[in-house]
Amino acid sequence: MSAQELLFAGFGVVAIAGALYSVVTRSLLRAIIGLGAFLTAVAGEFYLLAADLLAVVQVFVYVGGVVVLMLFALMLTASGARHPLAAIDRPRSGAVLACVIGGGLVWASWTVDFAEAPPAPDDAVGALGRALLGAQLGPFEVMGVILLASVVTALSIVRRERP
Amino acid sequence: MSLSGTFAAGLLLGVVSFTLVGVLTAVLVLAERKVGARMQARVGPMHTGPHGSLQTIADMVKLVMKEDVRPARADAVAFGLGPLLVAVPAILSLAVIPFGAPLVMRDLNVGVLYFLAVPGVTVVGLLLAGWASYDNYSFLGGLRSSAQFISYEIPRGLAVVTVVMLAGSLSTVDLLEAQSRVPYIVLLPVSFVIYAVTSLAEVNRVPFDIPEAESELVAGYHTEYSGFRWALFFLAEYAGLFAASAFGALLFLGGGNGPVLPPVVWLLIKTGGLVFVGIWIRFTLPRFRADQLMRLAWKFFLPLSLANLVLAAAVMRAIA
Repeated sequence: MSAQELLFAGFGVVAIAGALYSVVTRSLLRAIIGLGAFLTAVAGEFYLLAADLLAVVQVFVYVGGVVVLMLFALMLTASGARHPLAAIDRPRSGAVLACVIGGGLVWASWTVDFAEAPPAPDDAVGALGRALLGAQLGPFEVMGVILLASVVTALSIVRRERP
Repeated sequence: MSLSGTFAAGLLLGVVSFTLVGVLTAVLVLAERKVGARMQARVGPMHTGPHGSLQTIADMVKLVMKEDVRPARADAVAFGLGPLLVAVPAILSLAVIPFGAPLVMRDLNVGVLYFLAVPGVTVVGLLLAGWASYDNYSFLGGLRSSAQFISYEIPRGLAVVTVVMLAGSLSTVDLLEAQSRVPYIVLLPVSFVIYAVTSLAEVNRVPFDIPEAESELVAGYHTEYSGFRWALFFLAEYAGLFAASAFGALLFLGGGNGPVLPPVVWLLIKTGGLVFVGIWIRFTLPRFRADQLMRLAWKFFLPLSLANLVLAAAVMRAIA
């Protein structure tokens, strides 16, 4: 086993542990911490798979963006973060659903034949950039408009409560 | 290399980087106290070592030996994680700075993006630290600093984009080559000004130190911290200042390019110059108010950086 494989396995363990912790813990804040650990470990996996850009974007958008946003939202609630969450209503159906989805994913990754990955192109980042600002410009811009619309909607909902 | 060899090398690299950052912090703190003292017609620390040069070393030893106090109602996990998540990204952001041919730790082909992304994790640490302390001052400090960081990150990123457009690469090593004749401060002066001002805000320094404004928030997010954990915040601030200055030197001043002297020396000279300006500003300008700070980011720097980006792109298009 090479150092790289060992690191890959290590990141995998951290990712799974973080994901489990974030659903098992009763504290909303710790759930977000677990999610952050999971996302960071996945960024590490991307890096080991020679997807540098994806790894950095993962940290940029998810850890530095989404996790911060969640923490911010949690802390702006009066005392949501200090009280443990109540037990969920239907633990049995939830567990069954989770097992079905998880089992399906394990089965899929077991049966699919992962051929030797093709070597990454030299200018992968450039190619991605050209694609986003060339052929895929339309969908790319639509994404931006959707995000803007969601921000405006959120603001208008918040404002309505306090005229 | 064998497995154990790889891990030994990795461990050694970690210890060496942490030690270097510690030494760096000691030097920068001393420089800040000495320069600040001169600007206020004082002499600064004089008693420990010749001209007080060992004062910060003594301070560090004292800090490490101090008791680690945790408020009784603090959240243990978040309280411990906070300073770590502030210090580690600050140290990691140094990894992509090309100090010269043999001293590039990592030439990522997305080095510039890495430098913008990794310090962003600091915000998580600041929020956690502020919240976990169970103290209103800390809490407000944490919220303020993250709001400030997020606001100033946007114009800063847009200023860096103009540099990337001109160089045509996200790799820090390519940036150096692109500037071998003309440093980008000549071609992109507005971007440099935006980068310099927003960087001061990103590392929470005067006049943008609202999060730890002692006149209103005691010490902001690190009010309740002491000993080594507090030292980590301190370390992060100075590592952040150094990294932002080194990156400014790299993006706009041509990094290690220069005649006669080796690249490392040139980069350190340019970085030192920017750090000096940072210290100079600290002892010259008063602090902003929180609302002024937000207005400056969203109503001045954001439009300015967008206009700068469009103008730079148009000029590049016209010339090419």
